[in-house]
Amino acid sequence: MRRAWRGAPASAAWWFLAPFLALFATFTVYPLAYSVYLALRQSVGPGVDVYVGGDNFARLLRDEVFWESLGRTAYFAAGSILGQLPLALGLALLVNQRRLRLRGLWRTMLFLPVLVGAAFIAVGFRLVFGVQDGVLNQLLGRLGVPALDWLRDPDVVLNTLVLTGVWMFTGFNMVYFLAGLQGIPQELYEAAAIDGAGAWQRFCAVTLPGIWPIAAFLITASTIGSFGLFDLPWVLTDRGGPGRASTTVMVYLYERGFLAGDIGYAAAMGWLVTLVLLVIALVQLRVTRARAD
Amino acid sequence: MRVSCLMTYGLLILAGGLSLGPLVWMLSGSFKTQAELMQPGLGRLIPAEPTTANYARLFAQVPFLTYLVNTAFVASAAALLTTLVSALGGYALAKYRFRGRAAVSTLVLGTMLLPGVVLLAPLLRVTLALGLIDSFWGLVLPGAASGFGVLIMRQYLAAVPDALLDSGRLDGAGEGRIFWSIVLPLVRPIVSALLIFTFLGAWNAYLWPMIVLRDEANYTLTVAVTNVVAALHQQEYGVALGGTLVSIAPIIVLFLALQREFIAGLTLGAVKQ
Repeated sequence: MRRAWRGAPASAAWWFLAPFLALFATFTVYPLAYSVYLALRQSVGPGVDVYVGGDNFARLLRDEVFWESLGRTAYFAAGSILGQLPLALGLALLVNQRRLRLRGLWRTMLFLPVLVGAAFIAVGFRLVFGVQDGVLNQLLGRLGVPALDWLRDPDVVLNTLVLTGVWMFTGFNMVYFLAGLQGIPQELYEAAAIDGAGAWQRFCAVTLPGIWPIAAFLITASTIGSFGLFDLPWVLTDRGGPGRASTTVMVYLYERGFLAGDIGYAAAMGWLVTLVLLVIALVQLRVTRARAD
Repeated sequence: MRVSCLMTYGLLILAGGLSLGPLVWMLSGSFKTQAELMQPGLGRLIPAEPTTANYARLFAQVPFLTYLVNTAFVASAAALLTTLVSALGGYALAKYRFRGRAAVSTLVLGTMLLPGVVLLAPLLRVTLALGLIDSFWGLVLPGAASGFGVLIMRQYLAAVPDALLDSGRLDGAGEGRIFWSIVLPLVRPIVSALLIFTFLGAWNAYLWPMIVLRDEANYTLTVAVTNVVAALHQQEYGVALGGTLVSIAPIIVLFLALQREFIAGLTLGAVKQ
């Protein structure tokens, strides 16, 4: 029987939501609550833990290895932003030129590394950065640059990770910038040209303000992504080595929580890192907003 | 003008070369003998004595085909399940007015701001308790309720006109039928973008599979390439390169076939800007 339409039945909404809610409760909401519980407990044996109050956090605050790992993570984040974004913007400007031929080809070539998982890249790049005469040192040698021990010199390894990140993500950032550039109305450039603005002035007055929201988004996204950095230091520089020279917070969290079994400590670390990240994100938001006004 | 034109192409060729160079070098290396790989110097682009021995060893000494199949299964299951769950949930939030709608949206948005670091430790306990350790479902289910996916789908589905749904209802179609036959086909681009985004993420995931998978026969490619292949062939670089390339190749082929969808899928994050 066909009944008269009485609007969207609300009960159907819950049926549509049910699979999501069931999975979301099990694998996000419950673990989040459980994570608070765990952060207040300490493992005393396999699968046995006791309530210790804020002890994990007190230990964390005194844990030099943790703060050093956090510092390295911040270094990687800053290096990634400074290394990738200007390069990505430059490439986007090149690819966005109106009379450019083979635009699709250039975009594809530059975008391709994004597809390759960090773990795969790490295995391949171990050979690129190589031992003594890896390909990269050979190439740099021809340009007169002295060889570096990319994977085993404690003063170099973090830069090796930043460089690998630049290779992986510059094309990805470029595609975002391209979308931003294409959103800038052509009339703005024409108006600026009529006002007698040169290329550099047009860049500062039209292009930069136009892509600033995208840049702000990419800065925040790169920062959050950097704090999850694990695959590269674990595989490329061999478990955060040499020594602890490339141990990021994620590597340290994995070591303490999953290899040493101190899962309460790892949970506490997760929360502290979240707090730090939140503060950084808020500061970034302040700065980028102020810049936009 | 000519100079600047030359410079444009010069810079693009340089950047493109740096971008593809490492992949090409790995491809060439995987067809070289160990002796040739060990020679100092840059080596040749085309191997002196091209050999497929590395690939033969890869499939003979390691169950590499199993790893490929495992990964294809996990990535496909994750993509299909996550996209379906997200589309259903996003549809409910976009097109129905019900009590609790705002609460659900706020909860989802709130958890999205938290980085994954926080979830890692408790998620292991939950996965253990549900008996999902060392199972493919332990890889697929935890990510299937994606707050990001639901919010993206909600945003796209909100643009579907209500009148279309109402006319479906007038014709006597059930709510499920309306979703499946009228709504989903209309938002095919975002569906394929989310499918690709999730597929790629699951194919390349490393840390969680490393934690969840115990039995070597269950390994996905990332875990296999970094552990088994690297350990067995510490001194056989060609085999490691071959393993890496076989792992990357399916993704690159897919990308070349579906470029537009890939770029849309990987830049989903910008949609909310």
